[in-house]
Amino acid sequence: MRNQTPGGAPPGSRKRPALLWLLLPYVLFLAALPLVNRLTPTVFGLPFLFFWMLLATVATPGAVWLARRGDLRRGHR
Amino acid sequence: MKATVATSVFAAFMALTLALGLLAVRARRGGRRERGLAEWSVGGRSLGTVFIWVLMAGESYTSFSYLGAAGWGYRFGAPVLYVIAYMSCGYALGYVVGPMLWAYARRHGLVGITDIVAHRYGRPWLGTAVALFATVCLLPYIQLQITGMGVVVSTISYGAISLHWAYFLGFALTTTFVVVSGLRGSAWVSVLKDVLVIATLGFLAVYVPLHYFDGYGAFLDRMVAEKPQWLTFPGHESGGLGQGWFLSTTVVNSLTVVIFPTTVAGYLGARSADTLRRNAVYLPAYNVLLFVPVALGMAALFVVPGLTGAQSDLALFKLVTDSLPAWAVGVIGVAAALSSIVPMAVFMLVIGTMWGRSVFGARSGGRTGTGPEAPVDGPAGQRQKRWSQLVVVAAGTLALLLTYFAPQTLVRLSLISYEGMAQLVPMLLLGLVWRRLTWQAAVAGAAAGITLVCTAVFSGHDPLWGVNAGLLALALNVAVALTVTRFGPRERDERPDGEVLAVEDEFPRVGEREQGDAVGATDAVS
Repeated sequence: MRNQTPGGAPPGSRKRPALLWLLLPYVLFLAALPLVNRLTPTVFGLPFLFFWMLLATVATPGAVWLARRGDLRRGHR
Repeated sequence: MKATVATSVFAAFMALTLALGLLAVRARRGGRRERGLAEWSVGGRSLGTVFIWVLMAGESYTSFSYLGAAGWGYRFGAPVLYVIAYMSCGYALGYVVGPMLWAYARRHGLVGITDIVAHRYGRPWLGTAVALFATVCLLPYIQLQITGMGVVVSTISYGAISLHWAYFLGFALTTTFVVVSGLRGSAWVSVLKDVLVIATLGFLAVYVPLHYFDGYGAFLDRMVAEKPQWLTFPGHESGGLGQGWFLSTTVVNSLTVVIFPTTVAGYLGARSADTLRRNAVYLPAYNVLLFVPVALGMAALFVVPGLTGAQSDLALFKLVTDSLPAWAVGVIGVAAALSSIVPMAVFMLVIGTMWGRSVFGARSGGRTGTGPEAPVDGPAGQRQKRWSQLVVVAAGTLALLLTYFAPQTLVRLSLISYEGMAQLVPMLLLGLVWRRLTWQAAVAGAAAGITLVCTAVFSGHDPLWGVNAGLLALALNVAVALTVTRFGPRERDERPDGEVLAVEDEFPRVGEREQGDAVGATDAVS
């Protein structure tokens, strides 16, 4: 990250659409809540709400990884 | 006999903890000799991905995770998921906020949020005010950790170590290594802590269902059949902790956790902005572990029914002491105790830093050149560090006394801290990206928000209309700030935008710090 050319366009001002991935946890945990606040169907024995929350928790690192991948592709490091 | 075994295991690990914490200070002595405030408060901004990960996981996985998470799972069920939700969302936000704050603090030689606020608005007294307010919000947290540690230690020693001795032990141990080693000491201890936490929770996750229920299938089936109330919102007799509460609490807490002074201490300790981005990818994975105490709390419903109130916080440890040999109880107790010690260490460190830098530093600024504009290294930095260390001892002592004389239940306290600290989000984050926000507007907004939080919480109206009062207060806060910015007083600040705002991802080379400030400044306003 230190090899950035001094005097180049400041990267912060570029559009970074990949950052929208960071909203994925909010969608999974919050926006979906009315739909997933239920006991059935159970998945591997887990009540549905808890299954969903576990899924959302596991998906969060993935979402951040996608955001980071977007940044890396734009040479944003 | 059992008490002796468990206590010996515990004592041995505590000695190891102290040794690690104290040895950490020697880590950098060989190379550069940095003794100033930046070395102590933010580890000389030198921690790599692994240390930052263990440190930040270490800070957020507190004694609440063992006691409160299991207790909430036991008492209410589903509402406890808010912890997992807000930490996941907050860690994701940290991908943007972490590097932004890191770069800003690094460019201007700042060591904490009070410092950042003072610099952004060019008002040292504002840093002082924020430091005082944040101290009020953080002190209950130290008390929370002391209480948590006390309860754990006295339980796992089968009562051999009394509550009061355990409180004192936690305080003395933590204070010693924080004063000596600062953030680096906490990071080192975090390594031991995270290894133990991951190992013991992983073990319990497998062992408890097998020991009591013939495995997960049987446990979950029984849960679904007999306790369905616990498994969806609003949970079991949770008193208004429904979906609206969950949504609002998750939103406001996820915004707060990214600017929480202890989180920021972790950010600023990082070696580079990219360390933080990499960390933001790995850190949320830690939250999967939080499901373990929740599940164990629920399992305790069948094994030790009838725990009420604060007793339910011990749900997990009732299972542990009931089903495991003394040495294993000791090890699990160590993991839980370290989960108090590490966050407590960082809380004390942050309070010390805020005072050394923004209260005592600001007061003597101008005349003696030790104010916030003075560099954090060099003689002024050393003086500020000594003040900070003194405040660590004072704050710890105060929290210990509060614990003896004004104990309260765990979770409520942390909610007040969070809702209060949430009111600093506009001043800090909005301020760093939006030049027009004046200090008058930021202060008016924060004051309005804090007033609403205190009114709602202390009059027993939180959640208010089923919504977390902190979020309502934050909305009011932003509304007031925008109004005052629009119609309020406006002073000329001659500094360029690059000096005042966060220009993300600017990496001036060593020695270029001063000139680097103005580079790329103009189009950073979004």
